[in-house]
Amino acid sequence: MKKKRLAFMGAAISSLTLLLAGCGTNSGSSGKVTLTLWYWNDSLSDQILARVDKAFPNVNLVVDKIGGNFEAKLLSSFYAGDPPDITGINSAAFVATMVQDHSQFVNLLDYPDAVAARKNYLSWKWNIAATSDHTYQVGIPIDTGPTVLYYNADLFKKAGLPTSPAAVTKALRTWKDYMHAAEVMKQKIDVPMFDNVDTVYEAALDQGMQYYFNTNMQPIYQTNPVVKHAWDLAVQAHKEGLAANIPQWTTSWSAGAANGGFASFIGASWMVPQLQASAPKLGVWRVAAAPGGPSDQGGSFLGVTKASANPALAVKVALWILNAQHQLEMYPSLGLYPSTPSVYKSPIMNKPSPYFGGENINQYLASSARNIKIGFQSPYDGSVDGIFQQYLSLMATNNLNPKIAWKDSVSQSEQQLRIIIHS
Amino acid sequence: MEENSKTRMVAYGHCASIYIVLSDLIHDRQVNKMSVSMPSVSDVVKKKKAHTWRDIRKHKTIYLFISPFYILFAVFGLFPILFSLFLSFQAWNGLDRMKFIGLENFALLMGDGVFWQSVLNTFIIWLESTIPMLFIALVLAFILNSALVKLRGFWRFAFFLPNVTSIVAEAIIFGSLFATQYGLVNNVLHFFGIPPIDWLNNNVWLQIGIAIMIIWRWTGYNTIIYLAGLQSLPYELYEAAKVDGASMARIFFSITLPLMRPIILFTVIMSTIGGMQVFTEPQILTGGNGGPGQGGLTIVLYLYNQAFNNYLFGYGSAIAWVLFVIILIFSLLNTLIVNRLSK
Repeated sequence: MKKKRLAFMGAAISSLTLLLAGCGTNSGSSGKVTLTLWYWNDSLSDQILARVDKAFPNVNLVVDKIGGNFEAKLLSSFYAGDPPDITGINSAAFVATMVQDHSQFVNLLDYPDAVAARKNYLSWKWNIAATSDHTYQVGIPIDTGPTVLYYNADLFKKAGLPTSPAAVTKALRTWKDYMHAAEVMKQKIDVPMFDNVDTVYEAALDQGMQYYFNTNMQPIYQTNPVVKHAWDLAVQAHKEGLAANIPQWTTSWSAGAANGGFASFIGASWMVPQLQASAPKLGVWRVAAAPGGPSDQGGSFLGVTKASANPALAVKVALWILNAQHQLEMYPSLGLYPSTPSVYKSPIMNKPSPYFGGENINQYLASSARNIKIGFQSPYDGSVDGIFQQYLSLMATNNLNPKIAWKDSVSQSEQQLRIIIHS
Repeated sequence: MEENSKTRMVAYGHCASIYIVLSDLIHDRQVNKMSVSMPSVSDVVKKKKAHTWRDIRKHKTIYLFISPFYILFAVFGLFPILFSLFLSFQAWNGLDRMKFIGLENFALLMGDGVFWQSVLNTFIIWLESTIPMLFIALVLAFILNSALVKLRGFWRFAFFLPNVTSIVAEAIIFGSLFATQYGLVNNVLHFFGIPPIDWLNNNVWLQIGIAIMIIWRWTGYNTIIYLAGLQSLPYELYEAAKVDGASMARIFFSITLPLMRPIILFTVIMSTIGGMQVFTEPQILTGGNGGPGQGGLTIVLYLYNQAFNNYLFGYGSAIAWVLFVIILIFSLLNTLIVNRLSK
């Protein structure tokens, strides 16, 4: 769900340049099959895409890097009846929408190549793009977002907490341990353990196996213990002054990360470049296993549309782009964490990182990715999640009573669902 | 007087053309009213039509030259407008088949508290930005127009410069300036011993912050328009006033302000249309959700979120059309008020 914010920043930045994406041309050279592919910046490796024509001599791949609101443009192309053959599918809510409304995509289970390749991918990741009865597969996984604990070892040391990744992993196994460490941090050196309460809420929520709706699309957020647990942790962090109230993706967050404004956060693999750019000093920030267990935050898919004249070939090409070797190639260059576990042991992925004090962070990322369990994600999760997060922020920054914040989150979610159902 | 001001406006570039189109529309309406009262209406209309087509055929090269605008407008302007009207009566997520639901979108909208909060937010931001902005612009124009100012061209350029910057870039920079922790504005306040302000999280300050961004961006634009207006005012009136010994303030309120009325009205209407559609500033500043208390949730931001984040295209279109009606009513009200005030 964090990925939504990432996508938003991407949209904001690309609207700076106002990319006017052209429509794919169908003028393939004679005898070749022209396939079109839509993706967004840094979602796939340009070098790998350039090699498609060599690997498939009969294919002329036309790629379009779509800027701005990718999903709105994809919907327009569906409506116009002229979507690309292969397309990226990004945010969790959009993937869920495409799974529920799978009329636009071919069922990958109809293609033996895809069925055979299935075992190469993390099963929980593969299943996110499948209907809950596993009979219709909409997408092939690109990257995943396994979460880990990022922590400032200097501050941990000052507070008398363990500092080595192994010791931190051992000491902060549960949320209770983590909260206790946060209290110690507050008492000893008066530094907030968390960047903001939304991060706490999201991390705890994503570790659960049920979120806002059950598979029958009935809202369960009022009674789901996972939501309640995550909410209570956020409230506790606020009440005890354990969070810095610095939102992610802001310059304040960068300043806080560099200047000891907060001591830790649970984040996905794709926070590495963000952290590195914010706090460039080597050896300060380290990585350990996330308290409370592994979870996934984002990661996208490639799907083949029904409008494609050559879906079998398009499936082959998509599988080739996303094979294990290519996933391995995309990790160091783009920071996309592979969804193919066979490469997790490769030396390229297990290089010690000078930034993280010579630590091999992949051992924690890989173990997180392997052990993730995931629940049902509905198309409306994004809308409801936005409302809950907004009221948590309001509680944290405007001192809104947590009970009122909860009540208002529920009632506004209900109002939004009324609109969604009728409109 | 009215005629005078109209011809004067011609000099002001594109803003004037809108004014003229408006006044022509009013003129046309009067002509139509007259023709209704005549006996052979259909004959006149038919003749007029035939005449028009003959004219177009005669000057087809010229019409060909101006056609790109109309073709582009039809495709990217007129069609989306009409299609959004059609969509506002549908339930549609962009994927499923559209479903006609009559006025249900509008009924839901009337009972949607978040929408009404967005209307209120938009009006507050509009008030907080437009009144200081037009006042500062008028004063700046008055100063720039006086003989005392040197390097007039430089000042005009400098004041207009913010208007040509990218709003997204502006919002990202203001976001850093207004940040509660590590923000430049709060650091400066801290230097003077003033406690930090939670610009981006507190509704009241968030709205003021957005208003400041709008003021920063649009004051120069309005200054240039006022300056053009001031420069075309008849010099004799000022001379006569000076001979009679009128003070600067008296000259400003009794000569400048009344003569500037049509120009002020123009800027008020333009700021109304712009102010009701504020979007990029709050979107970037609040990360898209309008801030924790949703004080930065403007009507268009709410529209965008419902249409493009929640894929409720029918609902989004309904918001767009309610916004259209609000702007229409509000522009008419402004016209009345400005006319009344300066009479």
